[in-house]
Amino acid sequence: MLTLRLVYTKENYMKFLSHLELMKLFERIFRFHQLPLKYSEGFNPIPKMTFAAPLSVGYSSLREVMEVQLSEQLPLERVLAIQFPSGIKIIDASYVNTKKSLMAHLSHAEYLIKVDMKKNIEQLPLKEWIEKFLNAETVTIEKKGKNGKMRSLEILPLINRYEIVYQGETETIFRAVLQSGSQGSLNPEALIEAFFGFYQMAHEIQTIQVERRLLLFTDSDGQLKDIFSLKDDV
Amino acid sequence: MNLEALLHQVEKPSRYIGGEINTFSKEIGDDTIRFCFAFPDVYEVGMSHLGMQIIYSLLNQQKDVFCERTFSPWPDMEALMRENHYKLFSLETKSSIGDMDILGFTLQYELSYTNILNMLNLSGISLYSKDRHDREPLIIAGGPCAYNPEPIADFVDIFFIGEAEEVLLEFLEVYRPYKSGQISKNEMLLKAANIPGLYVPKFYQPTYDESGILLGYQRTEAVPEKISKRFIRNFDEGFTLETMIVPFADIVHDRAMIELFRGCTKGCRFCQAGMLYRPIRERKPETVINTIDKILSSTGFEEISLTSLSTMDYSKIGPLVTDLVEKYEKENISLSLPSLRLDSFSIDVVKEIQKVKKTGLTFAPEAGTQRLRDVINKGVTEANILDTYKNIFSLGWHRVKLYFMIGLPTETTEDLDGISEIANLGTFTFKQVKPEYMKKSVQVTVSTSCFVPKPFTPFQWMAQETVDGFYSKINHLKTKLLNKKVVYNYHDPVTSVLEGVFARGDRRLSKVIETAYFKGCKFDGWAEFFKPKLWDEALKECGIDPDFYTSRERSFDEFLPWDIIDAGINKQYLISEYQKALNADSTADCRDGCTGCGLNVNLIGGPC
Repeated sequence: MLTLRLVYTKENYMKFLSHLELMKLFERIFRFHQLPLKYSEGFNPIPKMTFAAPLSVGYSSLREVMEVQLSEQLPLERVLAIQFPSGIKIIDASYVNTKKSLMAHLSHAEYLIKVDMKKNIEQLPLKEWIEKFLNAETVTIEKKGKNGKMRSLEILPLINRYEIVYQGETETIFRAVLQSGSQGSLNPEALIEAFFGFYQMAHEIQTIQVERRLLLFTDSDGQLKDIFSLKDDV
Repeated sequence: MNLEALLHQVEKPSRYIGGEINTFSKEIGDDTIRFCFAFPDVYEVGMSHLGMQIIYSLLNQQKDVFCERTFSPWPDMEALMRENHYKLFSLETKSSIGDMDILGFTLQYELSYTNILNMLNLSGISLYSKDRHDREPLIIAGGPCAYNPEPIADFVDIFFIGEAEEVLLEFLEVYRPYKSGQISKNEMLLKAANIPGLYVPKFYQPTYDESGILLGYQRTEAVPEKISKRFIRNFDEGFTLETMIVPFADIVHDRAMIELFRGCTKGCRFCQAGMLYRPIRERKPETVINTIDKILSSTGFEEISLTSLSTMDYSKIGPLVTDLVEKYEKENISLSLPSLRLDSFSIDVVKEIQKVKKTGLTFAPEAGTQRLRDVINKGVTEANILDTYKNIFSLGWHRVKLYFMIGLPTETTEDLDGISEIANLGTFTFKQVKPEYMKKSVQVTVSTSCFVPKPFTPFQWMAQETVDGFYSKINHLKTKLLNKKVVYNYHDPVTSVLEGVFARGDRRLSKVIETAYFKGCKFDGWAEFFKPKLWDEALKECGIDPDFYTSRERSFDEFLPWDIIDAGINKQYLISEYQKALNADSTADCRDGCTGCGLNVNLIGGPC
């Protein structure tokens, strides 16, 4: 079995593709570039592909990853030359030999979050607000559980880093490292709503735009590292 | 607010982003003719339409033309656009539609007319042709509903009657001098009106008698008396679609499409397409196979659809299907055959297609008794139906869908009961012939639609069934279709009767459409948006009695609104077919001998 791993961007208008649409797009592009795809067995055979940590519709990303099973090796130059619609670009391709999916190691993700407010907030002491927010005793949000019922989620333990990188008149950019993966995730929009909600300002939010910058894993020393540094030795 | 900010707030934003595989991007120079293909329904419906793919590909092959696309925004997007004063835009360059030279609408369905007005309004374009100045786009329209263009004739500058591949290019020849300022808009329209196949309604003014019956059209300029339809004489060698846009969103028909032939020889009397797309013209199997190869190698589709009005009637269907399955089975590419017919159903073909994927099976007996099937000239016998059941159920299918029409001419209770008998025959036959391994139970789905008499068919003079009449027939069927293995679905009669108004309507309806639109009607073909009350109000305010168009029987010598169009078929032929229908007298397939519709003499000048 041969696993081809692709690292790609998802930007501009392509960020509006849903996860299903993105999978369909990859499948079709692979088909007409005649990649030797492996198919599942059964009545409706589908190519064996896995997409890591699905991105919400509307989020852009600088480093997405997917893996596809091939029946024979194809030169990587050919793979890297595949053209996608403008906004999606393959930035790295490699053959990997992993028993466990790369994404099983995912623990956190880093985001840039651009928030546009309805009113001028240039004078607000956002840095201090963040510190006070992070040191609060408890901050909870309502989240829909797997059974469809709403449940309360304590979010502070899910925030590894939360800081402000730019503060304009109505526009603010935050950077956040949030837990992401099988052990539980915090959505960056939920963080922003909880943060401004903490100061009774959630209703002033106009738009929130998110870009995912890094996927991270926790190494044996408890340090967060870029998941792509794992490579084949896992 | 910019477009991205709007897209963050809507359902399915990929409908609006463009950039799909095989879309075009071109430099826009001073002499670039900017054409926008407009589909008056949502993206998923519009992108399933083969005609759009053909026009897009054809026009973008022209050096000085850039063809873009636009669709009706879904109401959530429309609300945001209006709130933020964001105009309707093209998917390719996100340009405002008002900046286009030509906006080309396709008319697939009468109930999309309000969406056309909504798209013009969302673009800031004047609705009425007479109000549009030179800087506003030229509005053109084509497609099956253009065969009776009158209900929207006040809004459209030029209608394209018939197949557009050739005439669109001829039209560009008269458009270019207008674009470069050499001739006026009126001169351009006059030149266009003299190209066969183009109808410019402003040069034809309808006149009516005191009872409101149309008398004819008065020509205001030197234009032809009748507009003859266009069709591609040599279909095999004519323009062939060799690549397709691959949509992102999950559209209705998400697959490679290749047309096997145009036209149909069966002569079903209710079927407008069967009359309009004559004569039959097949593509050679080699052309089909080569074209499929080209489409698949540039799109990556996983399913091929062999399209036509009656695919099983393709003269080499058996060998073609065998070849295609053999060629593509390994690549997991499946084959689908729309419009299977019970009479020509070949079990070998179905065995072939199920090798890759077992798709659902749908058949259209159309009517419940042999007598009524003879009336409509649907050449399906009881024996055909029984054989089909035996074949499919013994091969392991357990579900089948059956389509019928209600409100057909001469229909009686016995004909309705026949529908239930056909359904019961299915569940009974299943038990007799099902294979031993089959553990699932049978399901027969019966769907009824309400018959809408259409122009250029033998039923163009008859009265349509009323809404109440349709409901009593549906209620009767509900009491008959009690078999637990039979599921009954029916189409809403109210929409079918409104469709009937426009199908055979005249130019006075333009005002009604405008009035209904401003009251809030749009997406009328979608049950969740259809507002029959507002339509009633609009009809009343305009002083229009819908029954005049639907439940009124016309005399053979009445001048019909679409008599200005020459579809190539003689009126006398339609009259004789109508009379044969009333006597349940069938007409043979015209492949087996000319039935004298007149097309060969009128438009070809030789045999079909």
